[in-house]
Amino acid sequence: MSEAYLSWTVSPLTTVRKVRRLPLKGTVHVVTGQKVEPSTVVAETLVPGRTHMVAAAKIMNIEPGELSKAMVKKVGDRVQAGEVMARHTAFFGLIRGQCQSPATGVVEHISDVTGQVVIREPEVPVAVKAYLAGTVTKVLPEEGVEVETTAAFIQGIFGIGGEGSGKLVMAANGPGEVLTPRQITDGHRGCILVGGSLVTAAALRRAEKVGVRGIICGCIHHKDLCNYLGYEIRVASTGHEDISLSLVITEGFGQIPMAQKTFALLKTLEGLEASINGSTQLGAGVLSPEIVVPSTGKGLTQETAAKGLEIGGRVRLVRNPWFGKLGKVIALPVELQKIESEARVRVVEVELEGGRQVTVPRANVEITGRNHGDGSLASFGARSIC
Amino acid sequence: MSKGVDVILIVDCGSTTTKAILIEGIGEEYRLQARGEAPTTVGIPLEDVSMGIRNAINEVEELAGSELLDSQGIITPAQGRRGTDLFLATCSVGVLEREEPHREEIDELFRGHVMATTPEFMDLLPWTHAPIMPTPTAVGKIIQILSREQDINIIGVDLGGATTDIFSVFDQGSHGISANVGMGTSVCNLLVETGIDNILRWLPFSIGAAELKNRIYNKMVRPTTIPHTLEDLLIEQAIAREALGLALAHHRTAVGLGGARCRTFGKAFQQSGGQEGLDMMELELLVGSGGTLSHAPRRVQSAMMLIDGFQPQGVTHLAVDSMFMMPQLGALLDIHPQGATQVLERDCLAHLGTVLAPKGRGKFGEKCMWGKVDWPGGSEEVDISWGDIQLIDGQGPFQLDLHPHLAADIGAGRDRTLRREVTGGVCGLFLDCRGRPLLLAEKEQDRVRQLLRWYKQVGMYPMHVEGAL
Repeated sequence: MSEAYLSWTVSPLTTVRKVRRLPLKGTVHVVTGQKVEPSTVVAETLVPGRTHMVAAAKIMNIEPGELSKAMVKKVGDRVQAGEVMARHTAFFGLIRGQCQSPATGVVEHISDVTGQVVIREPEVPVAVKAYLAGTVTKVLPEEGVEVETTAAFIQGIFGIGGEGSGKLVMAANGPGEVLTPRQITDGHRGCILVGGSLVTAAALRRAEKVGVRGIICGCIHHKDLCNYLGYEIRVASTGHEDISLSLVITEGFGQIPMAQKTFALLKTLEGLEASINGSTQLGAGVLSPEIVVPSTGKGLTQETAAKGLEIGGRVRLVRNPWFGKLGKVIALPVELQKIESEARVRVVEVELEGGRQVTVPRANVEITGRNHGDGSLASFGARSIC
Repeated sequence: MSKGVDVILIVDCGSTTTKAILIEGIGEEYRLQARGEAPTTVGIPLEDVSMGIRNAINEVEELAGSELLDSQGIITPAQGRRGTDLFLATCSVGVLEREEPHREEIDELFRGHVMATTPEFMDLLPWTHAPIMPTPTAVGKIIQILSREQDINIIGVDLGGATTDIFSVFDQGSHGISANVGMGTSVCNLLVETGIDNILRWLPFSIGAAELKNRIYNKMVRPTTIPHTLEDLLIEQAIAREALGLALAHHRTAVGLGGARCRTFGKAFQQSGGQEGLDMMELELLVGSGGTLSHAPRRVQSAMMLIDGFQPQGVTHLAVDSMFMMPQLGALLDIHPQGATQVLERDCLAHLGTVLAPKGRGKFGEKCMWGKVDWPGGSEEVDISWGDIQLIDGQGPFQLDLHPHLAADIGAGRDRTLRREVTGGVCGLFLDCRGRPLLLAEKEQDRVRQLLRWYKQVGMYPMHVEGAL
């Protein structure tokens, strides 16, 4: 593989656009140009309820053709779970049978051919929220909207939990600090907490109990994640967990300090309202977890992101033995080189923060931005995120 | 179709990497000219799968000194060093989250699921000269043609990032099954299915289960990274062995057959049905493909992953897709059979050698197999004990005159002498007396010693110190 085409976005200033779409056609409640908050309901619809096929004739031991006569409820009638909807008597009441509804809903169909009754549960209202504080830039009639905001954007590597929003609060003093239950107080209810290198399962449980809306951290141990969720992750397809908070990890699994510049950026944003989404999906339809913090980005200018590896470009090393280290590219040898594993691969020479120079496979680095020479936050690539 | 087709460009969009190959016909001969590879770009921040394709083709352009792409897309037809006469694509991105689909289901799955979840593929369609073919279908075609041309029983495996696809063509019929275990995005599915202990057992060094699980999870979230350290390489190849073994077990289950998987001493064998079904004694050729097998730093590592994962019995020839391009050649097969078969034979398949493995088990240290092996310019007296493996280097052909332990069968029947000729390869002739099923010692200290001995016996990894990696 010749190039590192993987990039990792940590941008203090970018334009974020999100399409907020209903699963089915419905009603859009906002107009183009309207300001919205993360909790603003931008569109709503009713999703048809589940159906239950009840073999009523079989249950009552009658012929399908006798079902209509036995029905106590008619098509369109409401029924409660457990309520008798059909009753049959024969031989002067010596033979009796009845059929109860398995769910609360409406009798949708009675078939004298199959002997079945169809019960449909009530429609389920689905509301799509804006997710971001921003402006509606486009209305998709009956389907949804596009919301745009200027914001700091941080891409995570893995997450759990769906979308949420809350005030950004630094719960760790440094990028190497472990987030434990002791740092989480009742005052953090509704907030998005920033930890350092690691979050423990106990801290996640404490956060959930307090009502914390989200946690951003460098890493999590596999065992803590499984302990908290109660099961093993099989494929990286998350976001639908039955939990009340969202977790975004920025570095990976294990214990590595959060990248200093990610931590520093989050610190500059403390106190602002942030949106968080832990949904992760690798493979087809890839989705990365993210943190979006709408901000004016005073003093920062948007820049074009690096297109590929370049001398002076900033990279993050994402595999042992320098997993999690940041540095800048100092050479891009053309020839294949033999690495410790004896594989002959294209490599990149990187000067790590601290001055150490290392040679690593190009496949094992992520591009974090162009070099500005001063190591400032502006050295992170900034661009439009959709 | 083949007339006037001199330049052929084919890409395979895998779940992790996109591979492009350029084939050129010179006179009557078609050969591989260049191969490029880039991460598949279906996810943010790049999102558009065509970017990964462009990146892979750009590498081919650099290596071949050709111009194949412009702002409009693929340049056709070829004129000098510019353009291609034929452009084809295969894809396996998204063939996931589905219970063991049979090959015939994969086409439908591909069109229904993959095309729906990655609509950028629709943009590719106008570029290609034939419909995009699912990768498993393409690999299956290659395995079938190999079996048909040589009239042999064959198993082909494509060890991918999201799935491990196994194709078997035996006298009884042919089957292609995708197992949702792989080396990339579904590596944690493999971890759950096989368990951490089964991965740990292949490692000749101590590493905590928690640390290993963290590394495996990191592999899942960054599947395009490659092992840099020797330790990481050993872990990767340990995972590969389990993926191969598990995929074979799934294959057997899916085709309604039975089999036994290897377990450590003292634990019950996992049996299903008691049928032999795919009788590994009848297997004549085992072909491996996929990044971990194709790009292993030493070919002997590919061979040992195949041997340990599948545990062939008797005489089995081993080959590997040297450049990880069987999917592309499968896509070419229907359209340009001459080009596909020529490149398959001359540039794609690396013949690793032959493994001779007695069926049965005996007491470690006792005589298992003895006799003589001759080859042009040399010969060797063989006397191997149970629990050992020996590699005789060379291309052969090897003349075998070997006799097994009375409880073992090396292809001529139990306690019967085997006299036959077998071919070698880039590795040579493996005389594998470790027993079937393969047994690993239960105690960690014994197991580490056992693994290091095997790795040393075949020269699998660099041994910096005698008996240590």
